[in-house]
Amino acid sequence: MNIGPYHPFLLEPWKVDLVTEGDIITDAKVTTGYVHRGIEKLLASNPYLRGLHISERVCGICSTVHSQTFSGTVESMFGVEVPARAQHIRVILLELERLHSHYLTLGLMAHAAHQDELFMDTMRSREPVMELMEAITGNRVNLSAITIGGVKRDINQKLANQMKDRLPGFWGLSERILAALDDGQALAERLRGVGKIDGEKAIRCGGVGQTLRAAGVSQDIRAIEPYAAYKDLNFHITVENGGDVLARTLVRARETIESIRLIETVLDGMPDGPIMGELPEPFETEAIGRSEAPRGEVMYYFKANKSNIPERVKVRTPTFANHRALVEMLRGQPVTNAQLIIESIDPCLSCTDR
Amino acid sequence: MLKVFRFDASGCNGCDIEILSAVLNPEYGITGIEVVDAPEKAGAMIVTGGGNQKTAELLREAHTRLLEPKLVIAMGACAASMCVFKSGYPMKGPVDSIIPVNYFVLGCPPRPQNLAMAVHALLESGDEHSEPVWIAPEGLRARIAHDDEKCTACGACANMCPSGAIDIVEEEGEFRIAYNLWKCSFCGTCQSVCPEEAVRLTPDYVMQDAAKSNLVTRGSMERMCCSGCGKPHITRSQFKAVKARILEHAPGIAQAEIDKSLLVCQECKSQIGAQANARKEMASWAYD
Ligand code: SF4
Ligand code: SF4
Ligand code: SF4
Repeated sequence: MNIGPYHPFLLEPWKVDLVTEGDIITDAKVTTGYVHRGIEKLLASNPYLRGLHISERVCGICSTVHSQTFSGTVESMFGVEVPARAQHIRVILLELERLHSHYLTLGLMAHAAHQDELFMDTMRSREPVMELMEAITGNRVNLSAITIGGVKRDINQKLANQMKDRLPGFWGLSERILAALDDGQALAERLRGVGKIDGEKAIRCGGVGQTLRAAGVSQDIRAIEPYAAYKDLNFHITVENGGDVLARTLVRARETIESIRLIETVLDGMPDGPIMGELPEPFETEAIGRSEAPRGEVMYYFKANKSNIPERVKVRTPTFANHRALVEMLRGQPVTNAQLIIESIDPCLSCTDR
Repeated sequence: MLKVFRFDASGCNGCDIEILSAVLNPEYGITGIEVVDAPEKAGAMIVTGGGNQKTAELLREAHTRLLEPKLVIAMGACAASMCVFKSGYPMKGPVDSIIPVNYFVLGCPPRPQNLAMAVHALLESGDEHSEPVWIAPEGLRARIAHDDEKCTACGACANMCPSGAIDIVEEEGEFRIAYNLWKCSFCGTCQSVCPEEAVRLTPDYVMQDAAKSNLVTRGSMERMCCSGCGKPHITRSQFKAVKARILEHAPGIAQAEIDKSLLVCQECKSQIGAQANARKEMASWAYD
């Protein structure tokens, strides 16, 4: 059975070929590349400051985490000092992005499980997050807010207040989603036990993000290799033990609450000061940088020479890392669960294809 | 009710998710359309992203399966120009080089409100949406405004633009600058690198037209002529900027002297220098 490349439940073009015996999936083959744009090559042929905006457009959902990882890696490579205020603003932007990304995928999960009321509620209550990002940066999607050395725009008191006013609304939405995932609720029971993978197998398959955290593996780059201002902030790593679609959905839902808390903390303790650091001349060196994107670990590798164009850039994105685990999750499952399982890794094809 | 099929040719998916936002949130005002799951069920198609090696052919094929009236909206900079991915090796071409496009709506991605307006413009329905009725935040990065008085045609913006959206040419004795909004990713880089504060992204987000070539912000900088050879020389803004800098550092200097010196072009200046050198040289022969 083939799904894709253009299929109603796939937001983006890709192809999942399911090998079935009767109703049961025995194997799956994933074909990607439909939205390949040659970004790694483009990054290695454009000056850093142009590349920054290209890397941001690897993905229209987690664009900020790409500009953060791009900038963060270049900064650590050339020893750029980023002012504390800029680092805190980055956390706000990154957590807003996590919020809207998680709401989107939680909404789509509700849709896939035929909970249309929750789907509509989530999609509508998600809009204020987009509006906030637009008010702060001037863009709703590709924020172009983070730049090498700092951020392009400051957050003034008016914006901070606007943000604080909106947070209770987000909290309410997260609680409504969590309530739908309570034991005994239709959504929870539909997702329970579907597409299970245990922690050990998830690690062996190279899984990242919720694939690991829903299978009892506490792994979050924000904690193990803090970037931006995360090392100064307290937050919980959300872990579940079920390893099934329900657990992955629960991890995301609880992470939205954690993101709201983080934004509150940052707004209450924002250091004063400049938002841009000094940029040095490039020299020969190399570096690896990692961040926790909404879907899991993003990794950038840079090799630099003395010019303002990097020699080589490598990008590894979470969905690609989760493909192997996805195949494991699908095996042995009835075909009717395929959509839920695919949705549960929150696939992002523009990231995968680059 | 117009049935619409959504086709992601090869973009960042930002545009696709904004379609979802626009369709699911009634306050954005898209009415009269229904998104369907196959081209053969639809009379219109919203295409995001430019065509690449895999999707260009699939796009052409989807277009042949589309029902009459076969309306196509190209959404976003990628569909109109491939945006920042223009020189990516797998890229084949913008949507209008693959299938006929009826309407362009711009942005990276376009605001959902603008998509709604474009749909209504195309359907010739909903006059109430011909004016923006939604308040845009003051810092919104949309249509580019350019100030001819301030621009020195230095080229910094064109050099740093990630999508190559800015052309500067020399024509009929003046410098002409074109911000091709249909290539623009609205990243704000031009605004932040411009040394003269001559370029600005404004909140005017309504950017839609049947022809993408209409979606351009233009500027022209008249050049002053060289007082020696009479050929077009520096722009008025360059003249003003350099003069201001000289006055700042040498406040006592006579303004007429600055004017005179600035108005002689490089070529004439080097000729004057060469003549002076030659004279000196010849004078030294006389004494030998
Ligand atoms: S126009 Fe911008 S937002 Fe739309 S697909 Fe292209 S890069 Fe993404
Ligand atoms: S707009 Fe600014 S950066 Fe661009 S050419 Fe004019 S002066 Fe230079
Ligand atoms: S905002 Fe300016 S720099 Fe950025 S893509 Fe548009 S024209 Fe180029």
